[in-house]
Amino acid sequence: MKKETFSKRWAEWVTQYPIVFITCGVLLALGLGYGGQFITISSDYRYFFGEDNPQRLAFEKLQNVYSKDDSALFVITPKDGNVFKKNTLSGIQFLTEQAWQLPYSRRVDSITNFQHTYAEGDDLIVKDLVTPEELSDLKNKVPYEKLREIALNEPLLNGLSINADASVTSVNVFMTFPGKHSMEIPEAVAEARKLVDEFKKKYPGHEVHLSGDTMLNNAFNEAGVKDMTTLTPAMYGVIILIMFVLLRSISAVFATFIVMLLSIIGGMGFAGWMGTPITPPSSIAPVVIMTLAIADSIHILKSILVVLQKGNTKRDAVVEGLRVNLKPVFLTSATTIVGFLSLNFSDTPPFHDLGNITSVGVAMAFILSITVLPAMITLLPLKVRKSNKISNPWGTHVGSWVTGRRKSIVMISSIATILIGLQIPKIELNDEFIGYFSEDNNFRIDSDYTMKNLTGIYQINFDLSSGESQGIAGPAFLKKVEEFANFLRNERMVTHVNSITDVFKRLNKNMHADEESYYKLPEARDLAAQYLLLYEMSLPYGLDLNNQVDVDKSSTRLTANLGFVTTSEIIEIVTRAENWLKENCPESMHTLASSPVIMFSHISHRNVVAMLKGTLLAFGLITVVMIVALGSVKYGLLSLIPNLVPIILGYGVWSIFVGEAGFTIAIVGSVTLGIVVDDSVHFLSKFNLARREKGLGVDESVQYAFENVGGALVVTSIILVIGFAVLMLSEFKMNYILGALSALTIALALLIDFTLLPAVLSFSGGKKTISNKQSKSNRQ
Amino acid sequence: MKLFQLNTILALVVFSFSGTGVLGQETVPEKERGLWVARQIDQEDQGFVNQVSEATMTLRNKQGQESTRRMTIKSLEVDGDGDKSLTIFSSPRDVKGTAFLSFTHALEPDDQWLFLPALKRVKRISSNNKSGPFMGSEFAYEDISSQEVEKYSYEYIREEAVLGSEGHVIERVPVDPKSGYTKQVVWVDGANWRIGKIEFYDRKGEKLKTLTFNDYKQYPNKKWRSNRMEMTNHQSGKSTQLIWSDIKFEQDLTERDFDQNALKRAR
Repeated sequence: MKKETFSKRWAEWVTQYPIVFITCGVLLALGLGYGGQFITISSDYRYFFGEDNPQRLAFEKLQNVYSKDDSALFVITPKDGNVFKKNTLSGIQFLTEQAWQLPYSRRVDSITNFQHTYAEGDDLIVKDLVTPEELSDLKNKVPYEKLREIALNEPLLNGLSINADASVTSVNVFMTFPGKHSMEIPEAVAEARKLVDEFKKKYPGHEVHLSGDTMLNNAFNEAGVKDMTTLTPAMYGVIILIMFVLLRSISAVFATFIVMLLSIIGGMGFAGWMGTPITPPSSIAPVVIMTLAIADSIHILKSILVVLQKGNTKRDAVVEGLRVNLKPVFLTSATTIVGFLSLNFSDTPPFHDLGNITSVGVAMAFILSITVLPAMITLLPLKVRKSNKISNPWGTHVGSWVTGRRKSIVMISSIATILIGLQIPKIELNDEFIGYFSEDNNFRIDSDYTMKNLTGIYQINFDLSSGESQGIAGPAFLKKVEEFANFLRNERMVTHVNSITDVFKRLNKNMHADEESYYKLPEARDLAAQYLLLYEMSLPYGLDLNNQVDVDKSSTRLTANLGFVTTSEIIEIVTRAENWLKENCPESMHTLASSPVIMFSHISHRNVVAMLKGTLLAFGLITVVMIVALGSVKYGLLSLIPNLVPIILGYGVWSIFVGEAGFTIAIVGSVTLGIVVDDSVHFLSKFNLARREKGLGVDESVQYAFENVGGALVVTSIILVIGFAVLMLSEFKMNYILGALSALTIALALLIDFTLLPAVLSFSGGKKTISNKQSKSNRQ
Repeated sequence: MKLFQLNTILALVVFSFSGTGVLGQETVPEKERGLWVARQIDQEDQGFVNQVSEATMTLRNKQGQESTRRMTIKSLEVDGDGDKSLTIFSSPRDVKGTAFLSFTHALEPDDQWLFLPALKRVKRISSNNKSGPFMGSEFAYEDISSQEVEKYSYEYIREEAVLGSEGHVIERVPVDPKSGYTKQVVWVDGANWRIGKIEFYDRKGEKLKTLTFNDYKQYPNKKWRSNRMEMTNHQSGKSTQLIWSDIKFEQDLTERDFDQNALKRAR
């Protein structure tokens, strides 16, 4: 009872000094919001992985040994389907030359600057495959046919820089981003796009597509920005519309809008103060905050309007509306915050950010809902049609219908939950990252084009060690590397393998007057080492072997490109390859593959495992909160049913009808948990109120709960479902899944709250005499 | 170096009257001050005749792994052209006996040959490699080949203390378009004309590497030599250390020790 008086006193203060409360609330929100100016956008896919993520560590080690670079791949398609002609080759030379000037570029590889080697007399000639001078030389005819033949016969080029019918080629720019500020990648991409425009103007008749890691990073960045700038306004539109329908009061809508706006400002400002970079997952925080903030306001406003309808004064209505809602709104906010904070268990830092930003936003929404909102309503004109309708008659009907069929409801629900729940493990987790973007996303379009017409852009790297200093020239080692390269080339999904052995074979041939029979690995170690030294000493700036051979020449990096593959196929191929190394090679070559795509291949699994812990902990905490709030261990534990069942059903239904998901699926449980709990909090507290204060029986209490919160639950659920459904407009598939699955779960939660929960409650009472005893013991 | 010899002699005469070089610089017009510093460096180094030394090169990557190469480097001062040098590798084992001969030229591309003992052949190396790395290290050929004055155009930046004495900072821009650099900033000490540090800027004008010259020692012929050079690549995080030892001057060497036949004999 103490809290009730506090609620009442609080409500009276707010209505007494509305200006003071408004000023304080706004100042608090703006104080937090001031941090908004420090918000940065992350454009680094690595940020999706914790700093101790083993796949990330493996890849970083590889990058430290060889080179750390993100590629920007310019894919060029001449419209006449012929790369080997003056116009196209000049264009590629132009792009190659200009690409050195792109910010952070370290290396540029194309068919024109490919370091072609051949024998001339006793000398080894190492030069660009075709130089600008040769192309513009009017005296000598350019041997296009021969150039084409060289390129297509070169394993380093065919299937990577040029396709099999020589109709598509690429200029691959390797960039090393220092990672000092968040604009590095967008800046480089903007310059790359400018270069594409310039190229198209100078060399018409060419199509250009941009792909590669740099573009992937940028796509994450752009998806985040786009979600923030399109989803948030869309959400505002939808929400304002719904509120007009529900509240039919400009003042009420205006006050709610202010609460939403200030909550978002507070949450995002917090991100700025904390230096949290925005990523696609955290870019949806405003939408989530908005959705949750509005639920608080609606509960309070609905109560105020109901009291007002009964003919009370506005001030009384505000005091009463606030009084009855202070505790439930506090509870629902607390459970929601617990749910979102549990995202910190995730293996993916952007989810920590989403959880923390949303938690702050929800806390702000709670504070503003009990200060600024009632204070504004006190000041603003509010008119309602007087009505004597006390509650919704359908609530009564549903209530009695459910309690009358409690047995069959519990039976059907249990069977359905078990059957549907069993489908959950069948969800296929696919984190093929190009698929993260919708089909009309530029990165997706360009990458799909590249995969279809030139080469796979999913790379896997193997750090193959000979186990001894300078050992890469050893014939036995080279033979194993070549066998491994051939093994990979026989894999169905592999489009290209880049192996140092192809360089050795070519050099061996060159050193034997280009005799084809010598196109094989050198047989003596010192010979191979000296060939390599000669070759290395002949390479120009930026085209050295540093990205393929370590400083000690003891290990080499072998890279395979994969075409369209699902996550499970990647893991299969990688496992087969790693096993092949174990079975066929000396121990020094037993290595684990590493690359961004491998990092993403494990992201779902790692997140599911990590979030299982987080979600369970959140469940425990929330159940404790429920027990304390309801003052009853029994009903607190009973609340597990409506909290848990919708989540099981949600995943299960998704498995049956969609079947595929990515790493966001791991956080849906935690995100929706805190939200679906709100429904049970409202329902159970009204139920409890009826049992304790009004001394009603179990079934009557269920009726009472239906009559009193049924309407509000439907309304808030609709808002929440719509709010999460808005996320389905995102170009970023992970946000789409999060939105769709959360909306589904919240809708199912309403269903459960209206069927299974009352049915179970009805059982919980048993016969009336027992239930009276129970309620007496509870009161002590 | 004939073109400049008259100038340098003149300059020398002027300086010998005006005391130290730093004071003397006041007579040099601002526009030519950068070039003047470069000539001082060149002048200071002239007359070493020939030099034989042992060098140890240690490569380091970002992961902290290291790798060492050892070599003997002989160089011969050539009047009127760039110096000649012969580098004989003694380790790693697989390239032991491999020898690299180079004739530096001021404006023409250098002539370079490599002797491969496993093949028993001398191979000419194409000259478009000057910007490429030397032995996989962070040193490019153009960083270690003899620094002829004519290879760059110069600009004077400012006075600054270098290696503990009053010095100069100059900027030099490679004349050869095939160079991997757009410019280099050089710190020179004004007392002995020793280079303290060079910063290299890549083709898009971004800082690429820094080379520091440490542990300078003066030899009986009055020549100063740095015994430890450190090259750091800021973009890749890799670095290379070059340690010199057993530096000897005026050995019994002639042109004949620097021709293609000498390559094969070198061990």
